Amino acid sequence: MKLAELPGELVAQRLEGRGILLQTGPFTVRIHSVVEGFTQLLRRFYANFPVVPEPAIADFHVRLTIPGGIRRRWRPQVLLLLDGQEVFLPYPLSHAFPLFEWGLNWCIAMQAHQYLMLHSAAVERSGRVLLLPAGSGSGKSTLCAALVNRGWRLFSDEFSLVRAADGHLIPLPRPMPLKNSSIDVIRDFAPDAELGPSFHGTRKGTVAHLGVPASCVEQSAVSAPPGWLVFPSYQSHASLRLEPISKAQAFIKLANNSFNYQLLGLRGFREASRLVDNCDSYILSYSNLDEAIVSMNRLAES
Amino acid sequence: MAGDGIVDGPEYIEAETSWVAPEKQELHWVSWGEQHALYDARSGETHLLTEQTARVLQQLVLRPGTAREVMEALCSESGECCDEQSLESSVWLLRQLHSAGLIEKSGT
Amino acid sequence: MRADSDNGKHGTNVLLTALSDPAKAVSFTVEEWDLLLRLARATRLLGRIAVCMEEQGLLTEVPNRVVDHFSAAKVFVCHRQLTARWEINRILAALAGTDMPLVLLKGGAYILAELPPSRGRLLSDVDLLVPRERLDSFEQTLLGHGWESVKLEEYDQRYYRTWMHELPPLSHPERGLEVDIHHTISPLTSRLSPDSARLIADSIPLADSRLRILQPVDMVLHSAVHLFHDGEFINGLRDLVDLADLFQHFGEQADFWTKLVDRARSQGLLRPLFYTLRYTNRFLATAIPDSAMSAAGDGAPPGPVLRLMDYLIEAVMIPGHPDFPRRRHTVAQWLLYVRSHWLRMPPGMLLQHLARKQIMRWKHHKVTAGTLAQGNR
Repeated sequence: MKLAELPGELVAQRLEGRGILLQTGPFTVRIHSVVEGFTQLLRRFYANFPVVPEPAIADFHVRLTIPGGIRRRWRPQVLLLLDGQEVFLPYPLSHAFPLFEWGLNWCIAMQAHQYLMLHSAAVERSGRVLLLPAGSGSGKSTLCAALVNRGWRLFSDEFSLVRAADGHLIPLPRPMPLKNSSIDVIRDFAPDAELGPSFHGTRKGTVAHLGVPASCVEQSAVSAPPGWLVFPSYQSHASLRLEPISKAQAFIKLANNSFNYQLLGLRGFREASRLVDNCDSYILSYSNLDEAIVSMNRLAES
Repeated sequence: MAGDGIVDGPEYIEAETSWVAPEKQELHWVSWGEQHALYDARSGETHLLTEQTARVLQQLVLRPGTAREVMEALCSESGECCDEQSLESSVWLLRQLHSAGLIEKSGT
Repeated sequence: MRADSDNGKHGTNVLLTALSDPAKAVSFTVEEWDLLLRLARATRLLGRIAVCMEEQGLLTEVPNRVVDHFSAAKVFVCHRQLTARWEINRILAALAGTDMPLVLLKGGAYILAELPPSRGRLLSDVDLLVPRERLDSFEQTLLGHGWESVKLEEYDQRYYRTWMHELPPLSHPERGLEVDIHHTISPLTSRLSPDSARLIADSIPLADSRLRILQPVDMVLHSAVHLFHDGEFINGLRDLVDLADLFQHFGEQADFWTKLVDRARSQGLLRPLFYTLRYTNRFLATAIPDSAMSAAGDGAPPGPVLRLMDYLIEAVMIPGHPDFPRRRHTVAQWLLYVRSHWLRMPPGMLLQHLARKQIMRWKHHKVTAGTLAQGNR
């Protein structure tokens, strides 16, 4: 059953009570919330996501509460508890949804060490995955959002999960956060895409979320082998450059863009080198999204 | 300076220091052509080595030795000629390996 | 979900059951597994449970989702243990050529001596015992090889050096792991003062003879003192599990129990021993011989104090249901903290110190909990 199939009042009731169990990629998340604005956005962005029947073991327990105190009256806040722990400082109440998204990312990054986790976007075409490892500010989320709106299947815009057994990537579809100028860029690029409200004044500037196409959610259980490692960087006014790099260079860059390479020890070393062996690696500089997409499409066809 | 008969110059002493590398099973290698990635299972560190550095380390894994002994073993293997410059570069490479925590002076 | 006290008990059963008898966990319901994962993670015992269940060949009967969490926890544990072993390796390299006797304490000892408490054990620092007269030269050697003193206010520096049983921690900037150097296992101003020269003299060398560990009875007593007198209960249950393991492991040696009680008596440590025997037996079903229990009973506090301690220790060590936090936990923690300092310091100094430390203490707890959850970040 999908979240959209539950009536709104029931969703709100459950969020305030025993919580709602949602499946996102391989993870089961139990969500509790007393924040009204959050309920609406959850129903909107996770409409197509499966509700897990009770009882079930949750990987993460996420709770949005409203801290008490004097502030409550004139500057209401929201507090996120990740398994009972306060990990972040409170956010303005209106930022409950982005707080939830970042909090869930944090849980995954801190705990899911059964996977090699890359700080990387991942999209699939023709049965192979294009990985775009890069830090914040590189434009990878924008590029990822654009690719997803031109026929590539979303695996993730933030976390690439590599399965130890076979080196496959595991989908983790989630709403894609776009920052500042990227929001307008994508709005122009894909006017029909599900673009959520803008949240101003967050720690990362203005943030808006792009919804996940229903087809991507439906194929959440379909893994795929890696095909290409492309290290992107957006540079305004730059002409397109897609340059092959050596496996050794790719290995260094990959390890530096991993959440848990060091933690995984020998296993991380082996999985990262296997990934590099199985991929063609490039660096990409671009300023024009359409050109970048054409370039990536060509890779997929070759 | 090594080579003009003065025995207490720093390079001379370094050339005679005997080095020992970790056990073979502690080191895990992945090589792409002449570039090598190395995982040291004792420290959990990953290192990137050039061809020459990798050869020096692998020689020490085979058998502990001084810079001179390592140089001579590698030279005889590759057929290159051994001179003061090769010795200096061996000493230098060994110092790099030491500061990366990959080799220790014998008797440590 | 029912009332608070029931949830407390529910939480108690799930975690303590999995710790005392992993085979029973196999028949947990889905809700119980869900709760166990949360409680085990909060008490830093997930890795421990994972390793024990694997050792007993039980993983095939555990839900896949739980196995994933177990694998992830073991990754963490392996990394931490590797980091600690390497730090000790580097310390030995720095000490090359000296004849410094180095006694490993706590986690480092369990891991390098491959004792049962090392199973799935996380550790965030390395603890060493060094003779008092060699302390300065040891500190200087490490400082000379790149270790740095963790930055502390001057007040804390003085407190550490003069009154606590350790130097301010050192750490090497390339690695960041804290090295705590002790010269005794109890603070000097305490009414209890075991003789550390004797601890070192009776210590046992490991296969690498440069490293030593305390003899079994001293290892147990050191852990007991640390748990019941230091006032820090962040890892209370984990420390109790260590002790339960040591009792089970060493308890098979014929003269262990009599030697343990005698040693405790001669060093004025009967009370912490009494608590240790009592709570490992009560919470973890550790088998303690009646003779040992009654001999240690000489160290028991008066009835009312004991009842208070039972209440406080349970409140602090056994986590309640994470969705229904108990207020009494915080109060209990504070009371035990005060108590620990009363044991350490002359009464006059206590108030001054506590007033100063209160704010820093709770900040430290929160940062520590967050940092520990983050592992190597």
